[in-house]
Formats: sequence, C-alpha cells, structure tokens
Amino acid sequence: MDVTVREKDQSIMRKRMKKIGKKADDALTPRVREIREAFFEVKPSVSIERAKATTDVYKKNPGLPTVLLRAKAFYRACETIPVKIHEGELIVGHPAGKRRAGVFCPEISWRWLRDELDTIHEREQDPYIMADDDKKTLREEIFPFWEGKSVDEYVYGEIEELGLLPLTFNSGVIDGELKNTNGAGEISVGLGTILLQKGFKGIKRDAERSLKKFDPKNAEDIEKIYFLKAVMTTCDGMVLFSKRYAELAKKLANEEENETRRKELEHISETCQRVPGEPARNFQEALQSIWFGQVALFLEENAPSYSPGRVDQYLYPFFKRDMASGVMSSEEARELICCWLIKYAEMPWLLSKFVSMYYAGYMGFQNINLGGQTRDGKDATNELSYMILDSVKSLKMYQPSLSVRVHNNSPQEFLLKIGDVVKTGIGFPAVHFDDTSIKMMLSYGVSMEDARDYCVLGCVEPSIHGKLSQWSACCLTNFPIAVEFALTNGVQLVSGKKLGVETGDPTSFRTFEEFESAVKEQFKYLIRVSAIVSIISQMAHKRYAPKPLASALMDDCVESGKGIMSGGSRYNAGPGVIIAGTGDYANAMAAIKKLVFEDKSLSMQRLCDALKKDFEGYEDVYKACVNAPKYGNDDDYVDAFATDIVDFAAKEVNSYNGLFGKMTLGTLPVASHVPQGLVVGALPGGRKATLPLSDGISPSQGTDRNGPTAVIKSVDKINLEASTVGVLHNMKLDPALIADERGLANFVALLRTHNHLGGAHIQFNCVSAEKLLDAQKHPDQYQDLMIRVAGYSAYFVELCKEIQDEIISRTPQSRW
Amino acid sequence: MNEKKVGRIFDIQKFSIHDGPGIRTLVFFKGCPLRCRWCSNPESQKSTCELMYYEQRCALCGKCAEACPSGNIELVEGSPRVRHNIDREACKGCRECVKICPNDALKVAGSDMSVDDVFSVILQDYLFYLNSNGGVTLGGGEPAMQPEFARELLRRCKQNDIHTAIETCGYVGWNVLESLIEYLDLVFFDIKHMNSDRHKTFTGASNERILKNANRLLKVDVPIIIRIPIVTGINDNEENLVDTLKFLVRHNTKDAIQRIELLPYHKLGVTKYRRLGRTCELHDLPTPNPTFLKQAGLLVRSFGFTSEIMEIRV
Ligand code: SF4
Ligand code: SF4
Repeated sequence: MDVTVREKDQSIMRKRMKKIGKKADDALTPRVREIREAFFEVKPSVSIERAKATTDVYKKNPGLPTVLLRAKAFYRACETIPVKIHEGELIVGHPAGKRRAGVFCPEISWRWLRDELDTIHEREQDPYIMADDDKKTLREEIFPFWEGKSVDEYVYGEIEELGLLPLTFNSGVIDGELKNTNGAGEISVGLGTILLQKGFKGIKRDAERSLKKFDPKNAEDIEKIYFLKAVMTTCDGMVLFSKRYAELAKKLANEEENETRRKELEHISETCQRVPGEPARNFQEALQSIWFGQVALFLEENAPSYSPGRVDQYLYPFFKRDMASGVMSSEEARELICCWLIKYAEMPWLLSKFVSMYYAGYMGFQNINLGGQTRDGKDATNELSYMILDSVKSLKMYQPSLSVRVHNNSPQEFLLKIGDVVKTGIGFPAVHFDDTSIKMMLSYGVSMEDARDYCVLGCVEPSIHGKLSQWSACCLTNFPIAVEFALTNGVQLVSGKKLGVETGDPTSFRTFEEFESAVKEQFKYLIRVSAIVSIISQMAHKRYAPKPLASALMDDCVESGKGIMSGGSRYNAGPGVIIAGTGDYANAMAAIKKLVFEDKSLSMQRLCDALKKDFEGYEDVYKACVNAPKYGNDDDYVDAFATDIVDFAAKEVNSYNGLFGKMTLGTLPVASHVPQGLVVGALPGGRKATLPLSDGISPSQGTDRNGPTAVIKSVDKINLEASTVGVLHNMKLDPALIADERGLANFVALLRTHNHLGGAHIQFNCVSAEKLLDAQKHPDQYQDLMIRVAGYSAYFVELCKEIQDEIISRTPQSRW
Repeated sequence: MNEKKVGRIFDIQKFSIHDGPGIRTLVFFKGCPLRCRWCSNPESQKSTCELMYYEQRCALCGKCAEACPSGNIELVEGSPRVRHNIDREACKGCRECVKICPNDALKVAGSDMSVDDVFSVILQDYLFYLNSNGGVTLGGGEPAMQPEFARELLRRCKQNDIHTAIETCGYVGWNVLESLIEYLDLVFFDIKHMNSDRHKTFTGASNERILKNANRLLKVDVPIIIRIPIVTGINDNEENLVDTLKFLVRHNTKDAIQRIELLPYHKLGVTKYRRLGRTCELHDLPTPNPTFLKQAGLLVRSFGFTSEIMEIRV
C-alpha cells in the first residue's frame, strides 16, 4: 500500500533530523563535549586493583567471618585503588580510577578470566584490554589463592552434585550462571532516601546504635554483630575514599594555572570533603554523593543493574533550592547533569565471554527514571525531569539507561518530549506504564505509597528504591524448548541429548489438550530446575558474598542487623525466573492446534519429521506453519496462548519460595533470546532452527504484519502484571514517522492507548535498516550509533554480528 | 430495500495516519469506475477478484496448474524459461492455486466480507481512534461503487461514534454520494484534470460528472479535502492547476475545503501491473519535478487554501 507523508518529505525530514543531531551536540558545552570525546577514545579494560586488595585481606585474615572479610577488603580497596580526576570533570570518582575499566572480583568468580586471559582482548563480543603485568599477577598471586573458594565454584559443585549441570550450565536451556559469575546487583539502593539524607557517617552512627541491641551471648545475635561491624567498616571506607579525592582535587588545584579550573577543583575538593560522609546540602553535593554511592556498589561487587532510580524526584529539592537562590543557573545545572550522567557510561559491568552473549554491549543497566506519580498519586514530572531528558538526548551515551513513567494523567508536554527523544534514535527512553507496574508492586504486599513510588531498575524491572530486594534474573529459562521437548519426548533436537522429561510419543496425543499438557509438564520441569538453581545461588551469596555496603543503603537492614542476603530489606521477593520466547511459544502452539488437531491438514508425525529436518524437503509443511496465526496481529486465536502461558508460568514460578520471598516471573530476556535460540531446533510456528527466539513479549521477528496498534493489542491481552519482575517489549520505529507534529501526536496517542490497555513497557528501536547495514560495513563511521538490544542501548558497532543481524531482521514499523 | 451486506475488499490497513486525522483504519474497496493510467493500486480497479502472480518467487513447480479446478493455469515450455500462463478472464479467484503454491507466488486481490467482518476489524483499534481523534477511512478503489455496503459500514461507525472519512474519485451518481454523506465526517475528493478531453484520455472518463459532484458536495455541510494527483506530462502544469483552483474558489462558498493535498505520482504501483498480467503504460514516467511541486504548493496557498504535498515514503 502506498504510504504518504506530509509536505515535509522524507529527505527534508532527514535533513532536519541531522540538524537535530547537530543541534543536540551544540547543546553540549565544550567541556562536556571534550569529556565525551575522551570517553570514546578509551578502550574498555580490566582492572585488578580491587582483586589485589581483596586477595591480600583474605590471605591475611584466615578464619574471619566472611562479612567482615568483605568489609575489610572493601576498606582496603578504598585505601589503595588509584584515584584520578580527568580533565574538565565536575563530578569525580571511579572504582578503578580509570575510565571504562571493569572491576574484577575473584571471590565471586575467577575461573572464567583464567580461561580467557589470553583472548579477552580479542573476543568478538565486548573485548577488554589487559596489561601484561596484571596478567602475571593474576596467574601467580591471585588465581592460585582463590582455587576452590569462589561463589562460582561452590554453586557449580552443588549443582553438579544434584546432577543438573547439563541442563543449567552453558546449555541455553536454563542459564543459571549469571549470579555465580557475577555479583548480584539488580537493586536500587537508597541513594536518594538514605545516602543523601544521612551520609555514610550517619549510617555508621545508626549501625553503632543498632549494635547496642545485640549481645554476642545470643547465638542469633552474633551474625548481626558481624554484619553491623562490617557496615561500619564499609562506611569508613567510603569516607576515606572520598577524602582521597578531596586531597587529589586540592593538589590539582594548587598545580592548576587556569584560574577558572582552579576554582572548580577547589570546589570539587570541598564537595568531596563533605560527601558522601555527610548529608548533601546542594545540587552538586547531591550528584557527587550519589555518584560515590554508585562507585561504592561497584567496589563491593562487579554486578549489573545498580540503578539510581527516580533521580528527578530525590534530586529535585536540591535542584530547586539552588535554582531559586540563584547560586546555580540552568546552564550550570545542565552542565553538571551532563558531567554526572557521563560517569555512568564509564562504568562497564565486566563479563565472561559466555555471559556477554546474553548482556551484550558493555552494559551496566544503571537505570535512571523520570516522571510518573508522587507517593500521594499526583503527577511527578518537574523541570528537572525535562532537563535530564534533554541532557540524555544531547549526550547520546549508552549509559545510564533512561526510563520514563507514564500514567493516566501524564502531561501531554512530557509525552511529546518522550517522542522528541525517541526520534533521535538513541533507543531511550524506555516507557513504563504506571497502572500495571503499580499492580506488580502491590502484589508483593508493599504499601500503596511505596507502590506509587516504584522505580525501574536494570533493564525493565519495577522495584522500590531502598526498600525492595529482588534478584531480577537468576535463571534465564528457555520457553519454546518445552514445545520441542514435548514433540521429541524430551530430546533436544540440536544435540540429541535427553534434557527434558518423558511426556510420551508425540503421535500418541489424541487431542490438542493432551499435547498441551505434555508441553506444560516440560515447563514445570524447567521451572522446577530453575527454582533449584536459584535457591542454591542465593544460598551461596548469603554464605560467601554478603553485601554490607548495599545493605547499609537499604531500609531496615541496619536496624535489624540483617543484610540483604539475610532478608533484612523492608520488602523481599524473587529471585526472578526470566523466560524467553513467549511469541515463539504462542506461534508454535497455534500452528499445532490449527494444522494438526483442527484442520487435520498435517499429521503429527510429518510435522515432527519436518522439524527434525529444519523443514528441508518439507516446503509445504513450512508454508502451512508460516501461514498459521501469529502472535502480534491482534488475533485472539494465537494471542490466547501467550496470555495463557504467562499466567501459567507466573503461577508455577510463584509456587516456589526463594530464601526470603516468593519466586517471581519476568518476561525480559535482555539479549538471551539470541544465544538461547541457538539451542532450539525448528519450531512449528515456522521459526527455523537456531535462529534467535522472540524477545520478551515482542512478536517473533517479522511476523507482526498489522502494524503497531495490532502488536500493542496482542501484547496487552496478556496479564502483564503477573510478570512482576518486568516485561520487555521492543518495537522498531522509523524516526521519520514521528518527525513532524502530526506524527508526534499520534505517537503520544499510541503511548496513551498502550497505557489504557494495560501495557507495562515499550521501547522503540528507532533506526532504518539501511543505516544498520551500512554500519555493519563501515563500523568506523558509526561509532556513536546507538541501538537497542532487547531493552537496553548499546553501540551498534560494538555488538557481535549475530545480534546485529537479528536487529536488522526485526519488522520495521513503517506504516506511520 | 434489500441491502447488500457483503463488500468486496482488497485490504484493510490499520494505523494509517495520512488519510485523515489521527490513527485510522483504512478499508480498501475493490472496483473503480475510472482507469487512471497512473493508478498505483491497479488491483483496485476491476470489481472482480484477481489473481496476482509474483514471478520472482515462482519455482515453476506446476502445482498451481494441477490444483486449478478449471485449468486456468498452464506452464508452457519456452525459452529462456518456462512460461507461467494464467487465463485471467476465466479465473474465478477461488484460491485453490494460492493454497497449494509452496512459495507464496500467488495471491488473490479481493475478498468478500460482511459488514460484521469489516467492522470487527475496525473495532479492534477503537481506543486508538479515541486517543488520537482518529477513525476510519474508506478508500480503494471507489467505495461509492458499493454504496449499500459502504453506507452500512459508515452507519455502524457513526453508531459507535467513530470518525469517518471516504476517498472518492467523484465519478459516481450524486444520489449515491448523497446517501453516504449523512454518515461522513470528512470527504477526500479527487480532481484530476480540468480539461475534459484530457481527463477522458487519461482516466477513461470525462470530468463533467466529477466537477458537477464537486460543486454539489461543496454546497453540503461536510468538510472536504481536495486531492490532486500531480502526474508528469499529464497535469504537472500551472495552467491546469490554476484552472482547478479557480474552480474550487468559485464553488467553495461554504468554506468546506479544509485543505488541498497534492499527490505526486510515484512508481510504487508499477510492479503490481505485471503481477496482474497487465502492462503499465507509464512505467518509465519520471516522478514530478520537485521545483514544480514546490511552486504548486505556493500556488495553492496563493488561492487562500492550505496545501500539503503528500510525498511518498519508501
Ligand atoms: S505453484 Fe507457485 S511456485 Fe509452483 S508454479 Fe505455481 S506459482 Fe509457481
Ligand atoms: S484462483 Fe482458482 S480459478 Fe483462478 S487460477 Fe487459481 S485455482 Fe484457478
């Protein structure tokens, strides 16, 4: 069909888009532009400074309780890690003293780095450079010490003992490595509610007070005493760390010839003298304080999804005061914001080669949120929300991740602004809809105020700042493979291994219902195994990787003397079991129901034969499968399967208990749909073997043929609130379609309708296929091309070819 | 009156945003009284269901020929390759060949749908219309060629408070148009050429009836958007445009014209002719000169109308 646009034709739009791009850069001050350029010149690297400090402390203090070892190691790191202030910086600090350096944590896992030591700099996905001296130190001093002592090894041993390794390690069926090869992360600690208000010194005082309640003569108090002492040591560590920055700034100021910069450095020094030890008093102190908080988290553990949460809410009082008193102009505020935002990009989450397939693009998932409602249900957007949105738009950095909250009364201006940022193609912001997210939180038994105050962490996960402890992703579980197992009596097609349970010869199913219950048997098994791995991982972290720093920043932990790994947080849930391939599942089930059981145009035997051969020689079967109803087209016949499976999975997952709460379901497989696709043979919906699975709750690639409204309708039929860990929905969008006023207005209508229909999340992948193909050919010219891979942004040229190809293959929504 | 409640539709497109305000569903009617040579939807012209053949996809396997109950498809030896012949006159559009073709090389344009069928698709996006001030547009083809069906569909929309629009070529009986207006919130009306002979040459019909209908329509209280295709060598000249604008100014006594949309000729329809076994007479026609389009836009404005150039996005 012919699609036309208004007078401003495409080429004019493109020119305009270019102008916007340029203007955006012009909107940055020269300082910010320089910092940004300096960032891009740095290659990601591995820092072993923290590993050295940790190893040293563990070596010298055998027998000390782990929580105290961790705290001492943290303190030592604060003492010894190089400090560095870069040219022009206003907000300072890094957990390795080096831009884009990842923090290696051997006590969590080290074997992966041993295996990759000689190749990590050249691996396809997310390479890191390393100094030869560091490699030597690792080989000779660090690795040997940790042999048999890391979280990774403990978990591996237990799972091996239970005979579950083939299904859960490196399998693509259930991926349970995440929490064993990394710190836990996935938390929005109370940077705004605790750190800005009390400072680490205040927290330490609280811990001292709390300590008085406990007596080592009581068995149950001993752990609490250790924990509180650990909290105090980590608080001291952070005060020391910031002092070192204060001193460095002072020193640099003394050496500085440029008057303006000297003043800035002096001011930085004063700021670091004050925060994060004391409560923040002004905007710069607030930004510096929460930044140090972020650094502290990475110093405690290299982990994903340390998310600052609703920054436009908790920073607003500081912002407003400084603006009102005139000590800060809006230009100065904007520049400070940019300097602060850019720091998040400097912090990569260090990953093994295997895990980097799942979380491609040096992502840290440090999510900041804007808009939404206040605790008492009013619209929460303010000037700062707009200013941060604008800054993110101009900066075009892949971190921090940016999420906006939309509710029934969100101002039109805010929604138009979202469109304005989306159309720049940076892949941000992710849009979250309040009604559904609030329902998710309420199901955890939180107060209505806390639910309204939810934040978004990691990729797309609603959480509660400083209050809720929930691992989003312990196991990433492959859903479509359950269909395969039911069609093979438990045998994986690509490997020939028996990984599923025996549910009978597929040709013996007399009704569709019999078949469906076989599939669900397979599911139940996968979920059961996922639950087991989750509990084992949680126990390992509890024993071997308690987290005094993160705990210190969560409500109730200090008061109760229990850290987050002992269930000390105000609210607890999870761990989350994350499923991939909802769309593929629905398509597979619809095809079988229709072709095999209803129309009877295809026998089960022939279907199974065709799937085994990846449809080769079975073109007619392939065509019938492809033409069967597809999820994402507002067709109840097939959408019902998506709805059903999310309900079913949620009930099933919720029936298991983690250490501190019900296990929870998430449909947000980040990038896991790509590696998990590799282990799934051809599916009855017509997806060929080893291709990526559908991501999150998005339709399978290229099968949504009725445009965005139909996709939204299909997605929103699902009871998304059952997927309490979060929901991910990606939609590719041609930026030209929202380039003019009419396009933007329709975009806003699309968002509002999504919200009314019970949507949870949507994110737009706003680029053209041509641009991407060209970027594959000429990566040099597309260094700053940002693209969304299932729920987060990364630089396109830094992704591996498979993921690039898969992005290109998604259906473009070009019918605006 | 025995209302005919089945319509012949060749597509329903959701999320259309260039055929009226807001987010809309566009219903494409099959059958048109004109035969504009530049038509980009040639499959819309005939009222019968038509087989479309995608040569690139065809593997010349011959399954379609076997499947056709009336033997309307034949694979004929020939060089350099086998020819795939379709007897389009005899084809009834039964879709047997479409079902069997393993390569999706065959498709039938046109299917008979009840008002309920179409309306249920329309209703699927109801909330989107509400939030965007959008609605439904009947296009095609010529919706007024199936007046009872169109009227009933529009009536159902209005019953549900859905904004309605129609795209018409104007070459229909006035009583038919009039019968639809009751249920219409907006009319897109095409004016292709002011010279009746040229009009006849290029569209197969003279323009008197169209202009007369335009005149009548402008007297009724319904907002109108005039659409003028700009086709290279046919009407891309100032003279014709000025004549058109003069005509419109003269008759726009109720100020019903919201704006004038200029639709530059594009080639997106060319391959469709081949799929229908027809040749596109204008296949080498260049797209209109951008400078002229710009001037045309200015000209429209100089007559006091709002103008929009509806550029093609590929
Ligand atoms: S069945 Fe399809 S592929 Fe085979 S000859 Fe006919 S059109 Fe071509
Ligand atoms: S549509 Fe029916 S009649 Fe026409 S060619 Fe195909 S099988 Fe024959």
